[in-house]
Amino acid sequence: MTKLSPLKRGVVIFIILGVLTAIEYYFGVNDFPSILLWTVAIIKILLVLQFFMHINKVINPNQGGHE
Amino acid sequence: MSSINNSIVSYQRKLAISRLGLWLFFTSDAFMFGGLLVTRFYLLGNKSLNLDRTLGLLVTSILLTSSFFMNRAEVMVSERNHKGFITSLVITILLGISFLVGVIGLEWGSAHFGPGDGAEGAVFYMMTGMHAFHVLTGLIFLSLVLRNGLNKKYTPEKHYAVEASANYWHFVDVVWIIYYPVLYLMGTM
Repeated sequence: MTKLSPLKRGVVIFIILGVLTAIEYYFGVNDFPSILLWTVAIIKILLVLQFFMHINKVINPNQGGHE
Repeated sequence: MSSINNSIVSYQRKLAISRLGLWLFFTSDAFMFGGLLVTRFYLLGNKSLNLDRTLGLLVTSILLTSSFFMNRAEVMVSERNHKGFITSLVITILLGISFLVGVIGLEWGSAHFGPGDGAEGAVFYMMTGMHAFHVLTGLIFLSLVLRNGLNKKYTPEKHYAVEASANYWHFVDVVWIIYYPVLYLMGTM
């Protein structure tokens, strides 16, 4: 994932998030156990934190510059 | 040359401190949203709110797409693509407004209970209302960034305001990623 350009990486993450949202909706309307919905939501949050919010820049201050 | 290096080091230091401050704010705000989340389960247990799930999916998709365009705007400014930055930012703002219209205009209008109708109303309007308020403040933040962007105040080297507004917008998205299944998909009728 890190080898992709930032623009392409954004597109890939967006597609993954979209697919996960569709899966989540399917789970919800078919009354699947809540734990599955929580799992999908947590995966989505981790993806946003890592690839959209760049949480590593806070954890590792040496990554100080802008992309 | 030495003064330029000092200036760069000083900026990097300010950047690291600003990022830390912003994330501390996110942490404190997350406690507030977490409190509302706990309230939903404390008051309603596993009971479903019986909301329009299709409309929920629609507004969720809109917010998710806006997050993608905000990320795109941040990348564009770091690649010196001014037109792409402005276009992506405008699309983000328009999608944010659409989200607000979807939640406040449509969802609030179609819900089968009002804010004063017991625990269901209190939970639903408080959770969506507080989130919508954050979307609104995010839109104000993005509008200010857009104004500065139109005046070409950001460079690939210095655009922390863009990064901060993008992170704030993604934070609002993260909150909705949890609120969407909790409000629309979980629970039994």
